Amino acid sequence: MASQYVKPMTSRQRVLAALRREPVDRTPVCNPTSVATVELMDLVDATFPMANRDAELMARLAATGYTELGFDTVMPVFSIIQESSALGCKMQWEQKDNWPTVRMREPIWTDVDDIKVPKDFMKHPDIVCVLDAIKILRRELGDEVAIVGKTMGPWTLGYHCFGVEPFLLLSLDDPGKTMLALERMKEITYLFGLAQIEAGADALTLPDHATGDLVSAEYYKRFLKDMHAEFAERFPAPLILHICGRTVDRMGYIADTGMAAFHFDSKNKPQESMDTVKGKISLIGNINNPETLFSKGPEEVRREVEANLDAGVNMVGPECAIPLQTPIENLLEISRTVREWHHAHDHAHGHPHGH
Amino acid sequence: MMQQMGSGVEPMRVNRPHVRALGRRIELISMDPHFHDITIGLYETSAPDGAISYLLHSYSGRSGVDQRLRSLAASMATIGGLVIEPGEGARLRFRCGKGHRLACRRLFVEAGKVKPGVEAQVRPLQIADRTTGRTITIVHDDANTYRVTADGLDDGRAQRIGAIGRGLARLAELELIGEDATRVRTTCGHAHDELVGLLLMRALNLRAAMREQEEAMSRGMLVAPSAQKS
Repeated sequence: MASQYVKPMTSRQRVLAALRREPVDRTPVCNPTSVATVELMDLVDATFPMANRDAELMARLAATGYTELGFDTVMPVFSIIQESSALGCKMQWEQKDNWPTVRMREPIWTDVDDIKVPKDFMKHPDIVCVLDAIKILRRELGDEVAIVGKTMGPWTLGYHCFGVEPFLLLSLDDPGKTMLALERMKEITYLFGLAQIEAGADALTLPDHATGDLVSAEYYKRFLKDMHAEFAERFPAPLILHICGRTVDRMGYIADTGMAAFHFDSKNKPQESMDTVKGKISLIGNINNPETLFSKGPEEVRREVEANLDAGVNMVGPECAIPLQTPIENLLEISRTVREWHHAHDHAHGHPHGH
Repeated sequence: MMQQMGSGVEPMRVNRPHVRALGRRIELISMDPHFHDITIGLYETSAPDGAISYLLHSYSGRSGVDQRLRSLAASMATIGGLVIEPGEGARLRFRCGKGHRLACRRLFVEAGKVKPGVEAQVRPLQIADRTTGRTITIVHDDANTYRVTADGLDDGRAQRIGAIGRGLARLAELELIGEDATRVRTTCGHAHDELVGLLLMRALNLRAAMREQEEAMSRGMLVAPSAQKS
């Protein structure tokens, strides 16, 4: 991105511009997954698990990403289980200090023909909660900040509804059936995502866990690349694809999907990732969660943020949903470092607000 | 804008306390079993003169939080030999004025287990070792040097007290002296009998202590579905 003067932007303008790979006044601090912590839950009296199930609590906790941490986005969908709950998956809602999960060892589907979207799917409380939370955030935060929704991709839904091992085995044994399953499940992704955009979301994160440890780049290309391109075309809002793990081997494919951004893991270095996508997609990365944000201090956070900024990564934030016990001072350091880095660099280049 | 979200719901930003710079958070009780599952953080700060102090803080706005924090601080002071600093808030420091971060983290977690209303007790420098049936006693070699001893037959004794010495060193950031690992000393040059007594109990079964720590650390980590265990 060329260095040029850009007028000061609101958080929302900044994020939307970065998603379009247009000039920004500074690099946006972005949270495509979750920055909820147990301390923030206490601060606004909105604790898990109910903050995943009650729209008012969900909105209140999500807003802290902007009001307390200085991020340019808010993300009300903290977890990855809302639609799976609505599909009828067995749930473990856990407590304040742990994530709700799907009991994937008790799958609800065993065959492609089992895939059915319940008639009342969009009226399920765990779906309505998200939509209402987005409406509340839009009403309360106006156009100040970018509201990002989240809709799970069909590969993740496959894990949740068929179980991880059965779904992976199906992909090995019967690729045709797997494609059919993905085709049917993608409608769930679309339904939920579109409803969030209609509720006021500016962009959507689309996590699809074709992770580097279990799914090869070739698998990504064969099963998901075209489908992700289709999502990018069908959704009337920018999409942020999220895949955990080492993914640099498939970033070239991902860059060709037409998605607005890819949210990448710290297992991929910022510069090699930027070199791989060649400016065809925005990157959001990639501060390490377990080792840095959770276990280390602001100095180490600063170094990782600077590595992203030095590499020209378009938006900066944690690599994935942060651990719920993450210290607040480490999260504050992300936005502080971005602002200070720009102050130093932009003044050095004679652009007080430019990037 | 920002005045009222909905019926009976507080607005998002008006009249709310905000996050504050409290120092470096070094430990967390994510759900206090003794007070409404609130989250309590232990923060380390250093004064201009270099003295290290530890602050207990909760962002919860529940009535009674301050009292709970003071009670927890009192327990820490008793079982860890710390001094409560005057003034507002629950802030403590070691009598030596130095930082003992790892030991303080363990002390905080142990103090969090003390039920309100139950008086915290200083642990003696002696404990019964169920594994071997011996009595383990810690004796002072000098002000800040401790030696692990055990009664009973020689068979296996050296190995056991060496293991306990290594456990103490690891749990409390003490320095090991000598190859037999039966002697440890504090890095600050001062005695910390209360801490050593408290951690002796955990040093008897270091593996269990480390397992408990790992389990606490892994809670709240979101893993990809492919890496999920259940």
